[in-house]
Formats: sequence, structure tokens, C-alpha cells
Amino acid sequence: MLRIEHLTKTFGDKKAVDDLSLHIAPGEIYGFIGHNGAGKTTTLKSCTGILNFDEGEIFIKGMSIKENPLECKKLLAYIPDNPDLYDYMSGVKFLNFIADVFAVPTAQRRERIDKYAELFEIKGSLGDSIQSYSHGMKQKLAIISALIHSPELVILDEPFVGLDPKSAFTLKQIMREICNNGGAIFFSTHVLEVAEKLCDKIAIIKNGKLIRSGTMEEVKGDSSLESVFLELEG
Amino acid sequence: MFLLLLKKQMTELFRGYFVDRKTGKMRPKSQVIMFILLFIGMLVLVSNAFSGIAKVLAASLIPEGYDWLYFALLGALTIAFGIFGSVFNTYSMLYLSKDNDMLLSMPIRPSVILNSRMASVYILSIIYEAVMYIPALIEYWKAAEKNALNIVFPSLNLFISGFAVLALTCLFGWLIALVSSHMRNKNILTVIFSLGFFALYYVAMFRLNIFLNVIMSRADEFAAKIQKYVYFLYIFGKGSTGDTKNFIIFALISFALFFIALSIMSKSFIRLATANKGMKKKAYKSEAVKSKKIGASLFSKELSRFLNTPIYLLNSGLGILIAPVGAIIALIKRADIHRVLGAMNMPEQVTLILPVMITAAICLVYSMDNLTAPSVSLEGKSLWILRSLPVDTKEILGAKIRLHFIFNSVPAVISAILFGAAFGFDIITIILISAAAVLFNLMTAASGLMLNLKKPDFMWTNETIPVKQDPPILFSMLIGMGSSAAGLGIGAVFGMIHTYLGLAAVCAVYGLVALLLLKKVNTKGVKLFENM
Repeated sequence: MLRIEHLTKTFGDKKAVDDLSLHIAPGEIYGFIGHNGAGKTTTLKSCTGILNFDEGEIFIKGMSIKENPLECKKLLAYIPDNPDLYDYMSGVKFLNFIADVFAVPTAQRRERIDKYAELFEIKGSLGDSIQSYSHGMKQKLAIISALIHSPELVILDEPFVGLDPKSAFTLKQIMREICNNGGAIFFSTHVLEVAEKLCDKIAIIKNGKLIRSGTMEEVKGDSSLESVFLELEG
Repeated sequence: MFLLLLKKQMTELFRGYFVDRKTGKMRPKSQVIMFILLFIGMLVLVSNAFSGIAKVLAASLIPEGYDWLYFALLGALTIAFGIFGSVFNTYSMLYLSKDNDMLLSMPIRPSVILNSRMASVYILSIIYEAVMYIPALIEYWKAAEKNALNIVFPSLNLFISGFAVLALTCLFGWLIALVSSHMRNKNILTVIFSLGFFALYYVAMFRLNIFLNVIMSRADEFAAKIQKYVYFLYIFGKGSTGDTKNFIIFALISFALFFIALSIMSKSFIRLATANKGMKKKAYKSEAVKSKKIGASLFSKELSRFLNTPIYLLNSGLGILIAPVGAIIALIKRADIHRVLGAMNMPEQVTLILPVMITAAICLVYSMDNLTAPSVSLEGKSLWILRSLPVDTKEILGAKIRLHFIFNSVPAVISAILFGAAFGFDIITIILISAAAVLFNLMTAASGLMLNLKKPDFMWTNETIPVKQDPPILFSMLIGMGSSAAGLGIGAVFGMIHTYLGLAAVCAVYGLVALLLLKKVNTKGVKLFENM
């Protein structure tokens, strides 16, 4: 579903991501962990076509994000770590905008908005201006907007920050559901317990370089993910 | 701490002149000097327009011994201009900064935050006041006998009157914030307040000439009335001429006004700055879920931002109203216009190029109104949305251009028709004026967008910065004004042969430049956006 090959991205003199390669297959939840500034967000943003990169290639379902950005973007959804949305719109107007971009038919978008807004308990606020939303509500709205076109690949940057426990649980269930239906999830997190329980595979990045990746068992063996991570980071 | 916060405020306002907001690096010295010179050049240009009024008043009032009346009148205009210049930003600068929560959570006294924001409003209003007051000072010193007191006092009065202006603008901002905190639709309220102020200002400005003529013909009577009923202006005038007692009284009253405003605002600052800034609470209905084509949806997004961002609506959209209002007035006064034109016995060449002059005037008004110049910067931190969606960048940029084009072209055509009717132009002339105005707006839409694509600014904490302060706004206005003047020149050359030829030449030039700029937006502009 997502193939990252020898990705390198430089900001000025600093290599934010250095020769990183990863392969995420359909049906996989792939966790991405690393210290602050390790290069997680840069990698995720490169996969979504937000950032242009210097070297390497990123393929989504075999299509290059460089060569076919629009076709690739149609297949994916991205949720950033800080959901800065259009404050001047109401929640429903924002969802309509995203659904328009993905050409989601009215009946389907209505059904999905109703379903997810009820799951995340935000339906009563959809008519309000986003300006009045709390951080958690904006995060929920960003998640709904990401799911509205039934993406095959979902890329999430710290998706559980700001979510209440119930919504975090709902999101985990949705992530698993997407993978069960043949999709894939690639997400970054600092919450190692979540990564350990939720992910099929995991990658650890340090100073822009991939230092360990594979199935949970391959990465952590008999230890806890936390102790492996601390050992590798040390 | 106060100075630190003030420095932060001023850095935010003028950062674009010193730092390349895209790269975060300091601009080369030559570029900084060029930006500053351009800014000063703009101020001098506007200032020049006022020196004519000062010259006329100085010539008629100072020889009659009415020095103080001269200062009282120009002081009134200066104070009005200072209020006009800063009043629309005050509410957002004082209460709507995005760093409110952060600053209030820090060990900083709220009064220091408020004071630093008021200080930046003060500095802005002094700049606006100076534009009008400095030519008044120069004309005064040219016409009157100079001594130490009438040099020092009127100079200081610029800074002292700034406190009175600050008090009034801050109270206006406070009033909007106070009423807003009890209202559901806050944006509409800000716009209504501001438009009301605009209306008052323009009515006053339109009647300025009549007013000045009356004053000059009945100076004695008028001086007595000001002395009796507008004491504040009287002491300003007297103090400016070197009268120590009135200078001190004026300073004390101005400071008192400032402290009253400060004490009123201090009491409610935290409550108003942290008030829920949400808009009307509206129940969600599934019927609200509707489909649109991508292009229409992108346009609707741009429109939503324009209509729901008061500072954007007021600053970028002012020209939308000015030209049609001017045209309506011209239509109402068409009998007077024809009488004046008839009495002037204009040479035939001037009559031939009159439509070109009207076209230039319409274009000049719309050059002050650029919706595209801040439109990329206004994406701010939500830029990731457009960058991550499967939308062709040309469509994104096209929606921004359409917003500017529609909002300016429709009233520009209405103005052309009304002016045409007022001046008695034939239908072909009206069509050509309309076409020129439409092409001009297409050209400024593309140029404003290119400027913003080249110099975007996503790091603002207040919309005032991309909408009012950033270089693309200044440059787009200068380009617009220059294009109006160039259109007038080209149109005049060909218009002397035939009116249609002059207007057609203007259309051809604007059309050609618009096409070239649109092509640039679709090539270089797209690349710039995709690399943000």
C-alpha cells in the first residue's frame, strides 16, 4: 500500500530524514516512533505530498507521489498533530468541503457524517463555527473529515492527543476496521503502550535514520517496547 | 516586560519589512532599505494630498491672526484621520490575538499585556496622524513668524493628541468587544460598527470642501463657535501657537482621557480577551449536507473566509463600495456636472479623453482593494489542508482570483454604467469603460496573488498582519496605482484621436498584462504554492 524508498529530506544543512525505507502492506497498522525532532512528521508529510523531498521515492499503491500526486492523494487521508482547521467555517461546512473535494455523493457523505459524528459524539456541534471548538473537538472533526471518503491509506500524526478515552477507543476500533477491509494505517505516536497493543508492525526513527523496523515481535522480542525504545534511543 | 511585549507587537507588525517570512531569514540591507523607502514614499504621497488643504487654510487664516483656528481645524482633521487609521484594527489587536491564552498563562500582569497592545495602537495612530499633521506644521511655519514655543508646542501636540486618539479608538474597540461578548454573531457586529464609522467619515470628507469654504468666509463667527462649543479643539489650537497655559491644559485633558480609557479597559480585559470567540450556536441538520463541484466548493471556502473575517472584509473590501457610491452621487448631481463641464469650455481633446479619466479613477479606487494579496498568507497554519487534498493547485489559485474578480468587477461595471449615465456617455463608451475596469481587476487579482505567492506569511498571530501590514499588500496597492496612471497615459495618447481608440488601447494593455500574469500564476505561481 505504501512504499517508502531511500527517502531523504533536508532543511537547510540539517538532514531531517536520511535514507529511510519502509513498506506498509494492506491490512497493516504500522506505528512510527521516535524522539521529538527525529523526523516522524517530516516523513508523514512527505508521504501525503505536503512536503517535497530531496531524494528517494514514495509509492502509494504503486503510484509515485511525485509523479501522480493527485491520484495518490485520492487514496489517502491525513490527520496532522495539531488540527488547524478553517475557523471561519462551521463543522458541517468543513466536512462538506472535504467531501466535495473527494466527490463523495450526497447520500453517502450524509450517512458517513451521521455515523462518525455520533460515534465521536460531536453531532450536536456540527452546525457551530469551528472557532468555538475545543482542541479535542477539532481533532474529532479532522478524523471525521479524514474518514469521509473511505480512504485506503490513513496517515496520522499523534492522533490520540487531545481525544477523550472513549473517542480514543473508538478511533482504535476504526483503525482496525479499515485494516480489516484491506486498508492500511501509518501513524506516529509517543504513547508506547498504544503502539504495543495496536500495531502489527513498528518502526523506530532516530535523528532521521530508521534504526529498527518489523513486526512487534521482531522489534521488541521478549522485552517491552518501552525498554527497547529507551535502549535504542540511549 | 512592557518593552519586551511592545517589541514583540511591533516586530509582528513590521516583521515583513526586515525578515523574509517564508525562509525566516533577515532580508539583505538593500531590500530592507527599499521596503522602508517605499513605505515612507506611500506616506509622503498621501501626505502631499493633505498639504493642499493646509496651504489654503494657512493662506486665509494665519494673516488674519487666526493661527489657533488653523491648528484647531487641522487638529480636528488629524485626530479624525488618526482614529480612522487605527480604529478598525483596535478590536482585533487588543482582544483577538492568538497568543492571548499563552501570554495570560505566563507570569505577566494582564495590565502589562493590555498596555503593550495599547502602545502599539498608539504608535500606529501617530503614524496616521503624522501623515496629515506634518504638512500642516510645514505650512504653518512657512506662513507664521517662528519662535521657540510655536515650534516646540505644535510638534509635541502631535504626540499628545495621540493619547486622545488612543483613548477614543481603544474605547471603540472595547465597546465592540463588550457588545460582542453578549452577542451571537460577533463578526456582523464588528462590520456594522465599522461601516457606520466609514459612512460618517466619508460623509464628513465629501463635505470637507464646502465646510472649509464656509469657515474661510465666516472665520470670526466660526472661531467664536469653536471657542464656545469645542473647547478641546480650541485649546489644541491655542496651545499649538505657543500658548503655554492652553498647551498644558490640552496635555492634561488628553492624558486624563487616556487614563480613563485605560482604567475602564483594565477592568474587563481578561474577561473580554478570553470570551468565547465562537459564533452563533446553530443546530446541525442533515439537510446541511450538500454537494458542490470542486471549483464551486473552493470558491465557497474563499467566500466564507472573506465574509467571516471582519478585518479582511473591511480592509480589502473597502473599494467595493467607494466607486458605486461615488457613481451614485455623480448621477444625482449630474445636472451640476453638466453645468460645470459646460462652463469650463474644455478643449476638444480633453472632452475626448474624459471617459479615459473616469476609467482611471475607477481603476484607482479598485487598486486600493486587493483580495488576493493576503489570500495565501491567510491560509496560515491550515495550509496543510489544501496541500494534502487531491486538488489541482490551479483550481485553488483560480478560486482566489475569482473571489477578487467577482467582488470587484461587478461593482466596477455598475460604477461604469452609473458614471456613464451621469456624464452622458454613449453605450459603446460605457461598454469600453466597463471592459477596461473588468480587465484591470483581472490584472490586479493575478498580480496580488503572485506577490503573495512570492512573499507568503503563515506565522501571524493576528489577521491584521497579512491583511494590513505585509509587503504584498503595499506592493499590490502601488502596482494598482501605477497601472491606473499608466492606463490614463496610454488612453490619453490614443484618446485624443478618438475616445473609442483611447479606451480600446487601455483595454488592450490591461488585457494583455492580465493574460501574461494569469499565465505566470498557472506556471510559476503553481510551483511556488506546491513548494510551500
